[in-house]
Amino acid sequence: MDGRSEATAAAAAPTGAASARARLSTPALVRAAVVDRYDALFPRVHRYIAVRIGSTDAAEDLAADVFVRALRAATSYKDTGRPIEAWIFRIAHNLVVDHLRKRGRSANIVPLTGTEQIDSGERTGERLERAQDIALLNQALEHLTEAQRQVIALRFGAGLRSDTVGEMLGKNAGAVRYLQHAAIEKLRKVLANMGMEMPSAVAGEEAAS
Amino acid sequence: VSTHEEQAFLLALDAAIDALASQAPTARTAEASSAAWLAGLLDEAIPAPSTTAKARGKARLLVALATIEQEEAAPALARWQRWFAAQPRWALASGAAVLAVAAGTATMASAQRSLPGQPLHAIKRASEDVALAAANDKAQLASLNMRLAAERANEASRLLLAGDIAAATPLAQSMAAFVAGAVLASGGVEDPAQAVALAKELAATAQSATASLQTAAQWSSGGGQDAARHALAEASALYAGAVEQALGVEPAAGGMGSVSVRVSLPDGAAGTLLSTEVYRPSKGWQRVSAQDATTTVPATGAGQVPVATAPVESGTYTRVRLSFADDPGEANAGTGTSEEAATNVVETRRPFSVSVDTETVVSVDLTKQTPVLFTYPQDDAPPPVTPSGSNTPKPQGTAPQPPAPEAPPGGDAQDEQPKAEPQREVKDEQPKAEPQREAKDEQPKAEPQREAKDEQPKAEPQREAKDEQPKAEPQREAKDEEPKAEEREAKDEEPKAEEREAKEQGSRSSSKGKRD
Repeated sequence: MDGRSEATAAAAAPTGAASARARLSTPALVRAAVVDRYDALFPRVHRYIAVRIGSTDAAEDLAADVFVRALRAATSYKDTGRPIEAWIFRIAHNLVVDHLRKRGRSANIVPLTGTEQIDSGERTGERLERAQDIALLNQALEHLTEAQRQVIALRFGAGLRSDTVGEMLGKNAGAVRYLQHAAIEKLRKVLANMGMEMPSAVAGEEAAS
Repeated sequence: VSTHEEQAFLLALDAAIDALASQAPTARTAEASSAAWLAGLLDEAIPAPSTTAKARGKARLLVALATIEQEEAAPALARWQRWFAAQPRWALASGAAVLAVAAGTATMASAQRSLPGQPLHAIKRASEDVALAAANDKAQLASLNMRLAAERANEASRLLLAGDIAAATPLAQSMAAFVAGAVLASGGVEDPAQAVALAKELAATAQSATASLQTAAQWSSGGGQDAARHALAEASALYAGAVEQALGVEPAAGGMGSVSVRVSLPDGAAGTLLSTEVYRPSKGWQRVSAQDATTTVPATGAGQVPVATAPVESGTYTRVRLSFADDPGEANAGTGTSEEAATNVVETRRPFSVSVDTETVVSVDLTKQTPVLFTYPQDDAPPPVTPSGSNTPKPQGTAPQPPAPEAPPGGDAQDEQPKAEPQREVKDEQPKAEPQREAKDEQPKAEPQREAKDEQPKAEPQREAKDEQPKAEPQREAKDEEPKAEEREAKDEEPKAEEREAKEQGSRSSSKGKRD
């Protein structure tokens, strides 16, 4: 299993392939690996955090914090042969938990908002439509359990494989898949209730089952 | 339900899913499709982080790294630096003078030219450390960092030219770290006028630093190119963030100038340009092409095509964004992903200034995969290509194109297109875009571009050729036979010769602009 996930990491980060293979035995090597992965990982970490906390703007700052914290924590990193991504996302998870605790879990989640400025008038309609989608999705995510949301964030935000997610959460890949399945089902139901249309392929699947 | 039972249940479920998947591919497909549905939804809902945020994060990361390494490696040095920082400047100045006398001015001078690995280099680095520690305020610190970044770029270039790629790479990284230092320091400058002046200084220094690295990269062998390009991309992202941050406080300008955008597409590529925008940090995006008008950029294969001209406030702008329509033929013939975004957006980041009552010509070169932005004062600008034929682009986009413009890349349009011969030759020698698959987010996604690399307009095999053709080979050949620096010169000079002619056509040059 380890071999497989290593291979994925190497494929995902061609520039860091060498350091993915080399054993990160000293803090300096770990730091170098963190810096090395920054470019490729930053968008994924950002997305993961955005899904967890429901705000893309705050996610930008937090994502940067993750890497700085990883540098500082390099002395405590133990190379178990797993990709360093898993470790970085664990740090991201801890940061998210801190952040949510600080904010108060029951507080209303700030809706996901884009940071782009699109001035031209022709895109206003498109933008509105997307803003609605974002609001809907955000509300729907609120209906998930914490574990479900975490699996969704790790699988679709961070883009990690089921087995890597499982290792991080202390579950097997099947449990991860089950959580994911349940989460998607839930999202689909909630979104359907809100009037968001389903793509035909998914609707077809529903009819079949 | 105990944990044990739950585990057993989940294991059984997992097995059942696997069994189902192997028996009925439809189940697997359904699962995959619902995952794809959610992934698409999230893609829509969560925009990629802004490049500025990414650059700022990188700056923080590099600074943290430098701090940690310094603390770990040389706590004594850190003490020295604190001590230096506490001394009055005159004491340091006289100390430096004593040092210079003791070491001999000639020694100091040759130390300044030394490269890593040479004995005198330690003296050079030590004097840099002294200077950094002695910096009095943020502005000074920022420009000093910038100067050191330029120095590292210079060293890296020399090592690249000498073929010592292994030694050049850490230098390029150190250059990025100094840029990061400049970013941080300039963020602390409070006086707006000073911040703007600083940003302009950063612009000038970074431009020359990146130019020297670029030249060196072109001359050195493959590995060196990659290393240098990587460092360049890093540094320019950091630097763009710095400039924007500093310019965000730029006071309102006192007049209007104008900006004219020109685009050069690769051979055989045609595109429909939906909008052209420029970005000014204090004002945001601003459209310079006419509203609701599209411009067809023909497949000239050479030269600069004017796409938009508009009056804008004078000041410093940092980005240009071109939104191309997806070619309809492309989408249908592709892998069936017709739900892709309707536009291909190309964004370039290199600051340019617009002065009062002058026209600044901005040329976006899309013949390479990573867009390069050149700015010229009006007088030096290469002449725009004035394409004949049905799809003549108008600056300003004053003539709205038909609503469904058919512009197949490298299709029949290419055959009909008359080509500007002399310029075309130059373009042909130019290195093709490297197959740089690093998934940089700044990289343009414009498909037609890549496709256009094939010069032969083949109907069927063209697409295959795009995917399979190993681009590394021809590229290397071209490089060995024809040093690229010369090409660049040739490219820059040739158009200038024709400049008069273009001016006499008087397409739109009402003013004799000068960029500052």
